[in-house]
Amino acid sequence: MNISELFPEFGIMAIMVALLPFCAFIINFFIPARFEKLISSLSSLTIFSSALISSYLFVSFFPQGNRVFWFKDWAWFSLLDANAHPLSLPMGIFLDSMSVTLLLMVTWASFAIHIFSTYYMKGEERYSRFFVYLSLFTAAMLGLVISSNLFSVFIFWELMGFCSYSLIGFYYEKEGAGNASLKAFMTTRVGDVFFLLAIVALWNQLGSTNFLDLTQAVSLNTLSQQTLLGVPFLTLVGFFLFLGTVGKSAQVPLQIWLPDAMWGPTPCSALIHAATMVAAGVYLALRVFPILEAGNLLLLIAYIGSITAFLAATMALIQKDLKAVLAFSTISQLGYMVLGVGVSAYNASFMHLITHAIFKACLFLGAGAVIHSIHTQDMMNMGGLRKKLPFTFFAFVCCTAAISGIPFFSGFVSKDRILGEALFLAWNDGYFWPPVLLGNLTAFLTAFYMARLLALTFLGNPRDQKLYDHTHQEHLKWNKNIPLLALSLFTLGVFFSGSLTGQGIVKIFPEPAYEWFQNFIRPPLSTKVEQLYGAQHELHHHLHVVGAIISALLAFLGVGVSLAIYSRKTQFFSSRFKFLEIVIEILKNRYWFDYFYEKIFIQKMLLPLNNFAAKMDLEFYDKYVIDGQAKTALSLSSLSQKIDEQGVDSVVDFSAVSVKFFSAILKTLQNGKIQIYLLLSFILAGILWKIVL
Amino acid sequence: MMEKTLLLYQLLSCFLFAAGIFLIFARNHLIALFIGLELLLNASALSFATYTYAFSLPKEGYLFPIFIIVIAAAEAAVALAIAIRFYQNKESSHVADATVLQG
Amino acid sequence: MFEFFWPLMASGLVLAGISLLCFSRNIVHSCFYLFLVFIGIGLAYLSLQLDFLAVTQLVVYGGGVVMILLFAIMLTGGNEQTSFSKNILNKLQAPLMGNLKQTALALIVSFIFLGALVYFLFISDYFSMMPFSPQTIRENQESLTFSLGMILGKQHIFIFEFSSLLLLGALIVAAAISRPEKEEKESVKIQEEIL
Repeated sequence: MNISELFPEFGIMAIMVALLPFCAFIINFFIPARFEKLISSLSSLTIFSSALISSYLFVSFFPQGNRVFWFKDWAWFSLLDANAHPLSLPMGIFLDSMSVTLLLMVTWASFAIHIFSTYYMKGEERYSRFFVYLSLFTAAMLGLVISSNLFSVFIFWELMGFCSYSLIGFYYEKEGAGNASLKAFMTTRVGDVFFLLAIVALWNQLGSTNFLDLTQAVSLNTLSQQTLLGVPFLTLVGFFLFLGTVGKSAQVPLQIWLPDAMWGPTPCSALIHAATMVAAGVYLALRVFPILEAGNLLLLIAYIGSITAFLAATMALIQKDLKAVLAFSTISQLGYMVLGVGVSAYNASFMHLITHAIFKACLFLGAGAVIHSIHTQDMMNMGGLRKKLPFTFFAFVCCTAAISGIPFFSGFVSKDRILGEALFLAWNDGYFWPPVLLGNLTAFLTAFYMARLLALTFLGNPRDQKLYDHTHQEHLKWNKNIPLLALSLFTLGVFFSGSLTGQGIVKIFPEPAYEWFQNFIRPPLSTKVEQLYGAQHELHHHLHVVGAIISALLAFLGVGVSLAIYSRKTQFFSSRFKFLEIVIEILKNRYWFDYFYEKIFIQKMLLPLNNFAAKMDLEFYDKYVIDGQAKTALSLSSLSQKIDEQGVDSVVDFSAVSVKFFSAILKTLQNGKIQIYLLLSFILAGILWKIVL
Repeated sequence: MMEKTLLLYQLLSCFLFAAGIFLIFARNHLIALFIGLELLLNASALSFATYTYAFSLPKEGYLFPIFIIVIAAAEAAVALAIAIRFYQNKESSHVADATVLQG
Repeated sequence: MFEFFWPLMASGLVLAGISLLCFSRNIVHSCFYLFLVFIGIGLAYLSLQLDFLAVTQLVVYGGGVVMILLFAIMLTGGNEQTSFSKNILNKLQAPLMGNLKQTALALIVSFIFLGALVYFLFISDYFSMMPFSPQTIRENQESLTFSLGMILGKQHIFIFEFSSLLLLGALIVAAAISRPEKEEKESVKIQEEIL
């Protein structure tokens, strides 16, 4: 139900949410860089007010449940298509339960990161520039969340891509940063191209791209009969839209940019690669979920998601860099979210998005605090930091527990729900077993490497004594620890689910009021899974319990084993098993994705094609067509010159010669002798006489 | 008889005219040109007088030779002046030296 | 003498005169031959009983024009014996009073004119146009002088006056043209004296 008439002020508030950071961006852009405090406080204040407004919106939406939305659009411009139907491109606002929840998360997380950045970026030369980019980025993400149609989503999508490019390449003195920023931009671009094609196809068919019309078109089956390029329309469009997600959310095969994005400053990694930008891809997938479902793409999506999660988790096992582990874990968790989309776990996927944002941001900020304190990123040189950085250690413990899927933490709730849904679907539809297996394996690996990170960084004894001695003892600082602790508070599971473990077994608060997340976020149309298997409530419940037990076991196992090993040693497996060296080699090369893209695809395929095209252009086209034109023109002009010289000039000369000739004759008439003149007059008189008479 | 006289005088006038033309075209001296001119005038006067006499035309027919003579006299004076001026300019009395218009 | 005597005499004189005139090399000789031609024409007039006309012819032409021509010859270089002109290359021209080309041209042109005149003379059938009635018989015994005087004084007085004006004008023009360039020489002398 559209409540835009009832609450018209929501539109302005939604616009303010996105506009305030944008105004901060504009104003900060023009303020000279030396007013650091002014710029950072302006950015932070605007994001704080956006956070307050989005909190208000959330609170307003909350009691109404999930069936109301707020929709209004304004026509921006319209074109006429081939049949003179107007194709209008409106810009609009669409608020529903999912949007307001995401707004809430993004604004508060961004606020926390702003606060942390005032600590982290202090002393940087381009401190102010960082906040400018940060404000712009937040404005773009918020604009994306409140967008009502795919076009404006795309606009903000691209804007975020640009901000990510600027922020990853923030330390442009380092050569790796420049390359990494370009790589990120280009890789997401590949996905964006397909996204745009999908938008255009949809716009052409439906005349509009806003979410309401898309949902309606799918529900009324208006597009189910049509094909595009021989493929059913919804399948092709859904696949292209999903490719946008693949690019932006770093799924296989476009995941190569995210590890390199660690060249950027850590708060930027926290914002972009934990909370917002990579979540935008999953948000898109959730928004167009009806299309993906109607296009029968969910199996593919589930496979891609699970494969991504598994590969990234394996690659995270052998990383030595603190931020690299976190990057790969981001990819892995994004794989989980996409897997959730694939198994029609709409609610669980979104919950995982929210919870992941919170604990991953907290992890990144904590990593930033650690790096700032110890001045190194290499985990091999750390160790035993729990004494020196107690608060950071506490935040890290909470978040590691969350991400590993320890019960009572938010990560367990959301991840387990995804895996439970996957299990349920696989029980009914056998094709989904591989994603389930990979997902559970990944859960184990996630717990393993996150605990490894914790152990190598904080536990055990310091490996590099000199660095250890140089780190300052941590005090409670308002802009360093408080954001971390605040974020880590929200890693508790109780915020998201009424029951202790999210399964409704141990209820802390009475149902159903407290399963708010479950009731709040729902897919716009009832999913096929609900339709097909919705009646199996008992089985559903049982499988969820089984899945919960399995994932809890795997989590404990992973954490326990890892802590046991890595709090004492840094290397365990590779020294024991020789065959693992091959595995480690594979993982170090990141499954040769980079190698394939760079050396084979670009060098051997695209570059020769490019050279061939250039050669064609230069040597064939330029030489024959364009130079040929020039040569033809030259030869024509020389021909005309010849004609001019010999033809026309001879006529001209002839006239001159004839004039000379006749003048020679006529000159005899003027020889100065009187008698001749007299004779002439006689002759003329005679002629006149003849004529007259 | 009279017809013969008339014819004779007419032919004479023709010959006078032809002689005048000849002189004008053939001689180079300025005065020679003028002599030719006089012959022309005399030829025409003779012709006039003859015809007037022969056909008893009105007496005005005799006026015309009178006036021709008068005009010829005046013209002679002017010719003298021109000849003197021409001689002063060119130091020669030959018409062939008057080549200013040549070209 | 026989009736045809004086016309023949007159014609003979005229023809002799013009033939001598055309082919003489001496300009003064040509003037005298012209005088002969005038006498011949005067005789022709007399033979037509045109007394006034003959006298006028002799007096004005013979006494005036020829004299003026002689003066002109004298004042413009005199009688060059050969009366040849020198061409551009400063060579004496051939005889026949100039160059051959000019004489040939003149002969051609004069013969054309002669032919035309004789042609028109014989083609015109004037005998049928008007009766041939010579004024041999004077009915009213008037002299030509009296008749012409009466005509000039009464009917054609304007042309008479006009012709006198014309003569006056011709005299003034002649005097003006032939005035020597004294003033320029004086001015040149004055300029030379100043400088």
